[in-house]
Amino acid sequence: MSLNRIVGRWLWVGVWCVAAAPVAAQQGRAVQGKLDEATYDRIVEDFIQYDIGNIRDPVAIDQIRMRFNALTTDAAVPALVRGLNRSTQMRASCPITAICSRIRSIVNHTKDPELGTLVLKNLERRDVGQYNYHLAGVFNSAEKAVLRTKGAAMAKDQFHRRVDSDQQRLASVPGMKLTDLPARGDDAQTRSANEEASDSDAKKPDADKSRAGRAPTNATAKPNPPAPAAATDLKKLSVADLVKKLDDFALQIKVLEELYRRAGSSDGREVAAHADAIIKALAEGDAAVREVSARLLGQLREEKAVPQLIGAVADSNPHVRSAAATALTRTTRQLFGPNENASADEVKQAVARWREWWAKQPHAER
Amino acid sequence: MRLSADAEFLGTGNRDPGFDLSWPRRPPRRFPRSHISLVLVVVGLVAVSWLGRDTAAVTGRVVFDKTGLPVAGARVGARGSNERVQTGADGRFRLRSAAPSSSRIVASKPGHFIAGMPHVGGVRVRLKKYPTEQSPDYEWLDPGPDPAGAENCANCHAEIYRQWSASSHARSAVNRHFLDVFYGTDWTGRPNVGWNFSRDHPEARAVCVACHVPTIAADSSIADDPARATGVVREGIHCDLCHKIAGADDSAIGLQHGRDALRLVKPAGGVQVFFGPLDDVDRGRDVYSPLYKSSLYCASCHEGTLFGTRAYETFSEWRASDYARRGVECQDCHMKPDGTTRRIATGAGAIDRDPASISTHHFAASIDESFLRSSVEIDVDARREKECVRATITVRPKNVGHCLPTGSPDRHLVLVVRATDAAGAELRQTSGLTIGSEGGVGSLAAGNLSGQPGTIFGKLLRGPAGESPAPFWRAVAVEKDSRLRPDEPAELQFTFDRSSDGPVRLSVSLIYRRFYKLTAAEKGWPDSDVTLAERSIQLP
Repeated sequence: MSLNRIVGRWLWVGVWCVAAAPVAAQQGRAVQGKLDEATYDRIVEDFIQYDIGNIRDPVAIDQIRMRFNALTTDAAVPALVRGLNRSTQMRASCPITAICSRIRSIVNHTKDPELGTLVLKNLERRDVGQYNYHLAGVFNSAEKAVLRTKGAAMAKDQFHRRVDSDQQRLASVPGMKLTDLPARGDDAQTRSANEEASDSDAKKPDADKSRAGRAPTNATAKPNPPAPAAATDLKKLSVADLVKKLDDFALQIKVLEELYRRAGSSDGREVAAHADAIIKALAEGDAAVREVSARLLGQLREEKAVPQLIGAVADSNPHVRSAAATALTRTTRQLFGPNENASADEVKQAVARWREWWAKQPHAER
Repeated sequence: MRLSADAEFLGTGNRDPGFDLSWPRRPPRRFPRSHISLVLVVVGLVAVSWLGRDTAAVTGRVVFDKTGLPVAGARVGARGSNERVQTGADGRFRLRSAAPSSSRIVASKPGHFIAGMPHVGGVRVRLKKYPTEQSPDYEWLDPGPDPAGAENCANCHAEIYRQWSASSHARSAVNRHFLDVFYGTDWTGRPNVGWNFSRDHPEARAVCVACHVPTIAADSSIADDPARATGVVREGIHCDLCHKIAGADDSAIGLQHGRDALRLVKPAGGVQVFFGPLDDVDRGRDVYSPLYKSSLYCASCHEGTLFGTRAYETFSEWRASDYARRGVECQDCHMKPDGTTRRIATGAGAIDRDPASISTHHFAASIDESFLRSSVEIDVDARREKECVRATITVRPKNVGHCLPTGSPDRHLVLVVRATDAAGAELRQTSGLTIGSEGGVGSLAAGNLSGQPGTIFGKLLRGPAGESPAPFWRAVAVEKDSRLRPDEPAELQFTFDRSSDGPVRLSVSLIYRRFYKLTAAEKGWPDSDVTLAERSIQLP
């Protein structure tokens, strides 16, 4: 190793030690107790700087990663949320992924009734391309945390607000059916999610296994639906059983993700046979569900989903739009866009081009 | 004491002879005007030289990571800029153009990862060798979007993934025409219908797989059974395969096929290497490779002598053309930048680039009808003569660096010429070419054009029993090859009997077909004709 490099490395370590002295002094307490907000912010900020490539020294990186990995308590969440907001502002994909994962792991296990609300109130919704999916995951975890710790009322209200906005949006898209959306006041969805949470907390694999395959076919029609299987069990279910679970609001995204994985496997044809259920999820789900549904239909190259996918190109959510456009291209081999940064006019033009092209196809379902 | 004679001379000195300590004074002299201009000129020159000094230059050194020894001949530049210089024998470089302090200075050299350093003071870039192993355990990266996947290509390269999804490369493994010919099925899946490669050459199925399903493991139980491929392998010619190509063997072009002629790097232990045409992506996993701008990169799949027949000749057609001499490579037309994409990836790390520098990945080709239409034009010159209508038709390929059509030997163009009188009745052809039986025998309404005035531009293979069209694996001879050569227009003369005095309408159309009519009909393929150009002239 050259002298220059050795000096450079130790210089870095020195600078870092001086700058991070307050953090180092409290390192012992970082794992056990609560640090002050500034220290948490400093740990998160250092991690972001490392993750975007501004810190190259391996010794300093070890320290930074160790401190970040020690952030496992509820007290770290405000700083993590602030750090995530900074990361999304600079569209830094690596820290977004890492911090989202950290927040989710804390929030998923919290017993603090205010923590989920804190995340929901302070986390900024920002367009970060493909990584918006991670951001959506944090929101989902936070909503579930609220559901679990504060009871169903607040989460139910949030769910219905989201459904209302989706209904308004979908109403403007030809070909979309809204008839099966759960009615306000029906708390089957939230109850189901509650039971899932309590099940997973209680860790009763045998009980979960015995329930597998008995999920409600229509959550709105069942007054007392059995609790769904834990997410990890989805891998063991058949495609048909997975499709049945699509009606379970709490499991929808995980089921679609599992179907997405199966679509590329030898189960692909079986998944394709249930395209109608996935098309329904695309038409009726929330933004995250619509996005995964579009991706799944693209993976299947399902031609009968083309009209619904064209409708989804006009979606209010840019990630649903992008997923739908990609799915359409994968299915039809046409490149009409819109791309990720398209303006509202460009989106309209893309939808018009898709409709015009589809109308000319001899096998088009109209 | 007198210290100065000048004081007296001036009449201002201390006249006390004992204590005159004043400093001698020089008489004031007028500065010559000519000297003032000289000084101004000198000051001006100094100022100009100072203002024009090389403040933007970036200097530094490139060394090998392990030894610290200087790297000679490394390619160096500022990220996102166009200027590139080479290091000298001492590893030193000097960039002339301005580089913002926020930019990174990047260096590359064959055999090494691209490396970079922030532009702060003297730059020292360390080059690290990339692994060259071909691990049998390497797991291909999934091109599709999946946030749960750590390395899925589309997670960051959404736009490029979408473009690729529209390409034939994305369907090479699941293309129904390919599978029908490979397994001998028809469009509905009925077995033993028409051409059947697996029946004729069961031992050679892996030859097709080398290009169509190139990432299927050669030693797996489904190595020659593309229909059973799943997951990433089923995605055909995908991102990770293309960007794992370290080199292409040019010693046996046309004789080695697809992956067999490519040097792939598949590192073990979770290490990643990505090859590409950009020389400034310094994540520590990328390698600059000029091969990615060269036609040689495409040759192993787009040139193939198979079972004694030169079935695929695109690369050699290009190499014999003026386009090769002019340095126009495959990528220049088939990966032409769309002019709108500014970033190759989303998120941090990606930079805004000149849209003209980002290649599209939908590989515009025959599947893209507008691209196909832009490749050819027809001119019609027709006149009425005393007893006939005479037409000269010129079919002119435009900006095509290979034959038209090229690739699969079954692709062909059909030129159809019709002359009708005022009542719409066909005029009798008295001279000129007519379309052969390969244009389809049967009802005209069903697209069978045999016997019609016109011709076919295509390659027609003959089988052992004299049958044509024959599949390339059964061909014993090339019956004819009438395809359009690069930049060589075809001029054809037709005359029609002029039986009445009324006006005559001359209609000319040029149709593209992927397979000969007989083959497509046998397989039940719902192929439709693609009309590339049409002209219609009314003669009084």
